[in-house]
Formats: sequence, structure tokens, C-alpha cells
Amino acid sequence: MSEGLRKKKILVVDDSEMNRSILADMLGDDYEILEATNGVEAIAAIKERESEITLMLLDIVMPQMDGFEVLSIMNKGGWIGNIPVIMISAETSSNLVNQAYDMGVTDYISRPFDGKIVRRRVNNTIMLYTKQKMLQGMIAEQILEKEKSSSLMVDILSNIVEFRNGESGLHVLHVRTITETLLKHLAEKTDQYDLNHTKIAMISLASALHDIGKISIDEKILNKPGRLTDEEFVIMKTHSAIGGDMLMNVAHRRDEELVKVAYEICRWHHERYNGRGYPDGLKGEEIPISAQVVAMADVYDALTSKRVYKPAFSHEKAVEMIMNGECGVFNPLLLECLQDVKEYLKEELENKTLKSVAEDEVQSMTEELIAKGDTIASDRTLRLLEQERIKYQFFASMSKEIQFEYNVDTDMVTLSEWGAKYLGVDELVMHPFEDEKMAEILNVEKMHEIRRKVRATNYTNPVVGGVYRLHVNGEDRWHRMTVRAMWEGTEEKMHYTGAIGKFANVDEDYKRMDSLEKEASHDTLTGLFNHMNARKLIEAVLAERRDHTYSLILFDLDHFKDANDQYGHLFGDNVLKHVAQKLTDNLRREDIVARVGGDEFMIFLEHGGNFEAQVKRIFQVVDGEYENFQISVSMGVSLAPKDGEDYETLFHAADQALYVSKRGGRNQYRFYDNSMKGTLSVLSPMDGEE
Amino acid sequence: MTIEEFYATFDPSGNEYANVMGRLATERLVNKYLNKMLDDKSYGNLKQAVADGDYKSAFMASHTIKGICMNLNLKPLADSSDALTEELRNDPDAGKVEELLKQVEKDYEFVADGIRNIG
Repeated sequence: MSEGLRKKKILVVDDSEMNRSILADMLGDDYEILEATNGVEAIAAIKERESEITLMLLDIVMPQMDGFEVLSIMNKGGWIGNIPVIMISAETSSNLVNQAYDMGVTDYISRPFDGKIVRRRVNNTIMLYTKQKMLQGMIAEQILEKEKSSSLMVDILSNIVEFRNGESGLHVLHVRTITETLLKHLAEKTDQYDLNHTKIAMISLASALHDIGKISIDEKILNKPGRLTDEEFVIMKTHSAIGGDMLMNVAHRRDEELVKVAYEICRWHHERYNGRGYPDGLKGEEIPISAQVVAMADVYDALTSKRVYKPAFSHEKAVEMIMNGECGVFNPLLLECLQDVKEYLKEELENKTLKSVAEDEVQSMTEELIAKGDTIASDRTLRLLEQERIKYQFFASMSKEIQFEYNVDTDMVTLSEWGAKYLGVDELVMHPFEDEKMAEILNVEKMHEIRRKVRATNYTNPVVGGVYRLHVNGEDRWHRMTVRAMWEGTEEKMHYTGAIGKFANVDEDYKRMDSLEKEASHDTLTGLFNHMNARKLIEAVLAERRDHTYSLILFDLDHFKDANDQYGHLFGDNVLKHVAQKLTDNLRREDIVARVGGDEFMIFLEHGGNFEAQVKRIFQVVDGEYENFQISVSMGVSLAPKDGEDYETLFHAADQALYVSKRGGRNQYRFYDNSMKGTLSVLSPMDGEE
Repeated sequence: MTIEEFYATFDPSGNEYANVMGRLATERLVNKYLNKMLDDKSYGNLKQAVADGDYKSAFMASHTIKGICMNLNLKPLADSSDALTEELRNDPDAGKVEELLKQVEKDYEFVADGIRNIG
């Protein structure tokens, strides 16, 4: 095969390098060989490149995950239907072979491999599946188209449903059936209208909307028993133009084919072939064929239904009235169609129930497929899927988020490429709740908490979030998690299938928040002011330059390190809180009390001259015991304005006094004096250690 | 020694040689895989696993050897590794495993010697 790039890909799953190599030699001329050395890698490859893999050769006995487990996962994940599997193994027990067939393998090749046989079986299997995949592709294409249309329908109909009058449910259904029947027959009769299956399906679907304009008509007129007056009839007639306008206002979807067709039908389903209809008086083929057909269907169903002002006419009578032009002039070709299908139509309408509509669609789609048989659709579908995959991968890699997908049936997590690399784990993790590596990243309790949260969601509200600390590359980083549970089924009967979600790194935000908190006015542990804020307050007081005198007291706890070392940090924290409480209890509201470092406190207060007594009192207040831990302090004091008039100077002076009292054997207080000038300090940056 | 002569050392009838050539098509490929077999770690793994009493790993290794030998028509080693594989598969008896492993070792060394003499 010369087109190297377009070689079909075969996934060879075997733990023995030699076996993979033999198979690669046997098949390498015609196929591109992908290799997996165990079941886990095989599943990863399938998840990654499902649409590219044409065939899988699978060994049974393998470490980590054997061939049967792979088959089991492929069954649960629905992959077995898309990727044909040929079992290869030295196992010959018919039990195992049967089990493999039961689990969906297509063929079985036993060792020793014979080059010719391997090639033939592989070729045969691929041919068989290509045909099948092609058909699947076509069906998928059609279903996609249908789903899109239907959801659009629901969009429109849901807006008007509350306005609908009670009878129209069956009317809508009948009009749709008649429209479809007439169109199909018309397509057989002439090529003139270019009616293919898709177009017929679309017109039939859109026919359901022909009367939506009636929601704007006064209910008194709409449901009036008896004939309408001329004035009332004029109002009634506006419904077709209004319906058309409504569709035109489906702004972002104006270009959609279905909207266009529905517009034609709404606006012109009361036009007549001779130009005597409304609202525009279109004539002949000026009226789109969609509207022509729906017009006839509408008339027919109105005639055969009971209305407040008339009985239901029989089928025969209705056809006769239409043929005679009693309900306006129709396209002669359409009249012919009506004649041709009238018997079928009669039967069809009698049997019509809501349920059978869906079955009809499947039936007609199948017929269409059998007739068509080209491959354009399937190629396009596959190409689109491939494009989606590339897009997804691209965005995933750009986002710098850990994106993941969890499937509950296979109990497997798939991580985005970037996410896996970031966490340092494989992209595919089996049984994540029992996985040791996972547990290192996020502790098991938290994992189960997330699982509980996700499972507690419901169909309408499936998203949960939270902030979790992940252990990545040896450090803890905060991540914001957003997860969406995947529920399948209807609201009444939900089925949990798994979840998708992401973890985004918010570590910096958290750290910033942490530092913001530090900048905030209070120390979180003791509730005292923090250093920064105390400084601002003191500076403000000093700036007023009143003729008052102040003391600035700095102290730290003697041997506080021992409290932490011996009893733990929690105990240490309690000591600090205890001291803070004592200070708060014994100082005035206007005094500034702050914690300015680990065990360092600062007090700034006005003294009425008797500063020594004041300092002594504070010194004695903090002196004492906390749960057998002896608390004493070393204190340094500076006085304003004597030692300085600005904060920097005062702080520095108190700091030096503190140093001196520590040097003097702790458990004492010292006032700054000039002899201390130039001594080291406790708190100032020039000091390397305590 | 040629490849054909190598196969004749344990199968004078020439059937095994004919079979392997039929399946793998060229002597070049047969030679490539015979030499690959010498590089395969399964044999070392097997001995280590049995020594450790790790019969699960021993089963894997023995199973791999058997598969390789079947593919290369190395009949005596294929047979002895098959017997060992089956013993290891369920509830292995330590004594029997030792005994069967001895045969595998004997056959492996014989085959390995032969392969080294091909040229």
C-alpha cells in the first residue's frame, strides 16, 4: 500500500514483545501497528483513539489487566460494538474461547501464528466491520440531524404550549401524517420539487407549527361556538402572518433550514393555488410546496374533525369536497396525489397514535439507508468527531487545568493530557478510590466526600464545587474543583453514569488572600491588632502632636520556644491567647495592644507621668502560670516625647531596651536610655537571631 | 549451523522447520525471532519468581515462554513450559514446580546453545 498515511490502524495488545513484533511483521505492510503491553494501556489507547483503531488483536493472559477484563470494560463502555476484537492466545481450552466469543470477540487466532491466516482473518474482519461502521455512521448522521431539529421544535413549542387549545394535539399529529404521506407520493410522481428524504422529514416536522400564530388570537374568537363574524374572521386570518413573524424572530436561528421551512408553512398555509388565499394572495408555484401540502392537510383534517360549529365529515366526503374545490383551489398535481393515497391515508389516520410516530421514523430511516448506501455521511461524521477531539485536546492543553472524566461502570478516571502530566500520574487511572497514587494527591476522605457530593446531585442541578488541597510535586496546592454529575434518562428515572470536571489551581489566590488577611487589622490568633495596623494607629496618635506623654512597650515571652517544643504548637497558641486576654482585661479601651511577631507584643499607652508604676503593673499582669507553664516576660520601654517623637525612633529604642533586658537575664523590664544606643536589637532587621 | 540444522537437533523429521518456515515465511524472520528469544527476560523472570515462591508471576513468565516457543516451533521447550504453565495455573505443588522447572531449564539451555551456534 503506497499511501502510508492512510494505512488503517491495528492495536496489538500483548505483554510479550516478541509476539507483538511477529504480528507487526506479519501485518506491517498493510496496516499501521499500535502496540499496548497490557490491558490498562489498551483501554487508554481505545479511549484516546477510538475512531482511528480499525481492529484490535488481544492476548488473554497478561499482567495488570488481562484480556477478559479488557473485553469487560469494552462492553461496559460500548466500544466492543465499534472496534472488532480478534483474540490471540496460546490458550486452547474451549471454555476460555467460548467465554471470549460471549464477550463479543469476532474471531480467534491461536498460537502459533501463521502469517497467511493472520492476514486473512484480519482483512475479513475489517471488511465486515467497515460496512457495519459505514451504516452506523449514516444512522448517526441522520439522528444528529433529527435531534437538532427536534430540540429546536421543543424550543419553539415550549414557548407556545401553554397557549395551545386542547384539541390541537391530535390535529397537529394528523396534519403531520397527511403531509408526509402526500409528500412521499408527490416525490414519486415528480422531480419538480426536489423532495429528498431529509426535506420531506423536515417539512413534516415543521408542519406541526402551522398554527402557532393562533396563540395571539383572542380566545373568545378562537373557541367561539358558531360561525365567526366578518370582523372576527379578519382577526382570525392574521394568525398565519403572525406565525410567520414569530419564526422570523427566532433570531439566532433564522438561517436554519427548519426555521425557513416552518416560516413558509406558517405564513402561507392559507394561500390557494388560484391566488384567492391569504395573507399575500400568492398564486400557483409562488406558494412553496411545503405550504401547499400543509394547506391541503390542514383542510382535510378540519373537515374530518368535529368542530363546535360543524359535525365531522366522513373521509370520503372530505376528499370529495377538496376535489370539488369547496375549500379553495389546490395544485392539480396535489389533488392527484390525494386521490392516489386516499385509501391508505384513511387507514393510516385511523391507526395513528402518538407512539407509532417514533417507530415510523425509524422504519423510514432504515428504508432510506438501504436504498442509499453511500459512505459520504459516515466519513463526514468520523471527520467531525476527529475534529472535535482535536479541538477538545487543544483547549484542554491550553487551560492549565486538571480536567477529568469518571465513568462509574468501569470505575475509571481519565485525565486530560496536561492534567496527568501536572499530577505525575497516568492519563487513565483504574479504581481511583483505591489507587495509592491518587490517595497521595488527595486524601481518601476528601475523595469520598466529593463522590458523596456528586451523587447527591440531581438531573436538574448536577454541578458541585469546592476548594481542595492537592499534593502535587511534593507540595500542597489549593485547587478549586468544579464537577458535573452525568445523569442519564429522564427526571423520573435517573441513572448516574459518572462525572466530568476540573481542578483549577487557585493556590496563588489563596496565598494572596492569606497575605491580605495578615494586612487586615487584627491578628487572627489573639484578636489583638497586628503590627502593621498598630503602627498606623500609633503614627496617627503621634501626628496629632498633643502635649501628652506616651510609653511604647515591647515584650516577649521568656522561653516561649520551650512551650512549643514541649507541648506542641497548639499549646503555644493557647499561651499567646492567654497573654492577649490578660492584656485586654487590664488595659484601657484607648490603649493600643498588638501582637507584632511570634511571641512579641507591643503596647502603646498614654501615661500621666507615672509611667514606671504603669509599666510595672503590666509586667506583673502577664507574669503567671498557664497550665503549669511558667510565664514571664522580658520588656523594653521607650517614652515619647523623651526618647523620640516618631514611631520608628520609639520602636527602635524600645527594641534596644528589650535587648538589654534579655541580656540582663530576662524576666525584667528596662527603660531606654542613651547608654543603650548602638546596642543590638531584638526585632529590628539588623538582628540575625534572637 | 544453519537454521534448518538447528531445528534438526531436536526434530530430525524436519516437520518443525517446515512448519515455522511456512508460517513466518523467511529464514531472516525466523532468525530474528530466535535471537530475540535470547533477549527475552521471561526465562530469568521465571527462575526468579519460582525461587521467590511467587507462582503468579512464574505463571505469567512460563506462559510467555510457551507462547514464544509455539510461535517458533521449539517443540521440546514448548512442551516443557506448557507442562509447567499448567502446574502453575491452579494451586501449584512446590515439588512438582521444581521438577518441571528443571526440565524447562534443560530444554531452554539446549535451545539457547543451539541458537548461539547458528551462523
